[in-house]
Amino acid sequence: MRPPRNRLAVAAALVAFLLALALPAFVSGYGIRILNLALISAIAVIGLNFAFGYAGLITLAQAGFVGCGAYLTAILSTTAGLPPLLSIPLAVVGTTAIGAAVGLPMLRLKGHYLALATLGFNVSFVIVATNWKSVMGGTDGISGIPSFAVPGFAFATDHRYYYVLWLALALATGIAWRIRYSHIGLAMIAVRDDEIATGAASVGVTRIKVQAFSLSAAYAGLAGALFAHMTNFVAPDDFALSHSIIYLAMLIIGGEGSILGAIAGAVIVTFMPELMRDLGQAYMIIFGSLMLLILIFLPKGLLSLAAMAARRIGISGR
Amino acid sequence: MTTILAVDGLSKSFGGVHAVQSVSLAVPQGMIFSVIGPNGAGKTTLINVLTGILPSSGGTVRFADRTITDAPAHVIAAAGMVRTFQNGRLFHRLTVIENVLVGAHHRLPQSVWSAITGGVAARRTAEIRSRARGLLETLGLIDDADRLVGALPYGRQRMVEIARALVSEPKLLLLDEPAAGLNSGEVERLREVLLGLRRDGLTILLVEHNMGLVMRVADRIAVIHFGEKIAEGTPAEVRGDPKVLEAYLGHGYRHAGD
Repeated sequence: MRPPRNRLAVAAALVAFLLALALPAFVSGYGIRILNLALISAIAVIGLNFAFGYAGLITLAQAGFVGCGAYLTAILSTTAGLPPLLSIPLAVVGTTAIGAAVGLPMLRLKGHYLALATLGFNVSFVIVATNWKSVMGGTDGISGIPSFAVPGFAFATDHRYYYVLWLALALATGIAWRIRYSHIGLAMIAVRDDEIATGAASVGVTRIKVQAFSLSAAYAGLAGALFAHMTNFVAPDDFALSHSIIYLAMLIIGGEGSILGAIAGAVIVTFMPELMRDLGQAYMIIFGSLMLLILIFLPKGLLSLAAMAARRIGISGR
Repeated sequence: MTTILAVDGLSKSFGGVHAVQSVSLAVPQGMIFSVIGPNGAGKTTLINVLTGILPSSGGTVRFADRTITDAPAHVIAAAGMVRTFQNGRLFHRLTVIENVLVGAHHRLPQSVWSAITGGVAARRTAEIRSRARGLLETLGLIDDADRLVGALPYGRQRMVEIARALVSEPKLLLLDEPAAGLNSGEVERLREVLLGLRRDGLTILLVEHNMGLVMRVADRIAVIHFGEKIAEGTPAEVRGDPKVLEAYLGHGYRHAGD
């Protein structure tokens, strides 16, 4: 029941996903680690798209929620000794609950105030993780996190783990797609377009905002949990506020309000520093300029370039 | 005839400005009840208070035997009293049909889980979608169903708003100046739509500036001036009421034409 203009995008996404399955065969050790990080970021950014891209909630807490997922699964799989197959879903549930609990009071705030409150959450998370040594390990973090395994098979190498991440991203994308075209997704988009009209159209505005925010936390929790079982080690630095800003940059560069844009942005921004490694610190100048150019000329992100190209060669669905 | 909406002594002040002062209305079921008044009379404020967009400063609102004074907007909409907005308020990132679907949100399970798993939500969404398509057909919008709503001309956008209001099968439809900005052909179309809805048993509260439209469709008219109700009656009664003429034309209107 999707509008026809999306058929092309769906087809392109399916092809890209299938081609991505063959990637590990061509990528060496370090490259596959970057690729894995890109897939993990993509999950977090798809989540951010619910809150920011759809519902228009300016949140700077995404890295904090990624941290919640990472630490929860770290604690559950080391101290509590649960297998990752169990600790990852529990970490997602826990992060979602934290998202709902934090979102319920915070979402009374709007615009800049919400941005500041969520920023406060992210900063607080790092402070707590740094100082609560007995549970979260302080600046030393938590080490000895087991690699992902199913009974009879361990995904201990980055090459093997890639397929787990691929499957997780595929599922996360499919679920996000389903939500986008359901009444819940429509209501989220409506809230950002016109909050008053959304309420008058029988949508509980606060409820929808909390749902968007919690979903965003859930995806972040999954990304964080998957991250922890790849690095086998978590420390506060990986979830600092600057990472929240990078997630936001990924979404805007790729195309906010679009699931494929979120994935594209995450992959591009993760690989950019690698592609420009020879530039050293000058890379930040390029990154900053690119961000500026996109905001000015492509407010809908790089994905709108693809849409334009498709229209140009006359294969757009419309 | 039963009263579906009973407004009793409703007031709304902004600081020292009394935008609505102790207005009482009884809207009978199945009628087109119109509220008119000069610019700035407080008509839109009245609608905003009735539908939970603004909190009231006094008085009560009873709808379908339920007190709904100051209930949240979405609760009032779910209770069966839905509205459109004066300048049109649509969701510009959504298509026409998606805009309409949002109006039925309260008819669907509210959890994210229900949206992921499908089941009841998917089945009911399919029903609502077919009703939405039927409405678009009736309102002459079916060819635009999958276009982004912003791509439509203004007159059609107003009709999309009416479709969004109707998709949840409300008991009472509040229209805030639906004819504003429409050309004469579109006003004629609107008149047919309103009369058709009344024939189907819907109660309509019509706030409107276009007197030609009001006098032809309204069963009963209330006149608001400076936040107060100054007259109420059939179109013929209201038309002849000296207080109404004075409110519209100013003091001394009798000599205006001489």
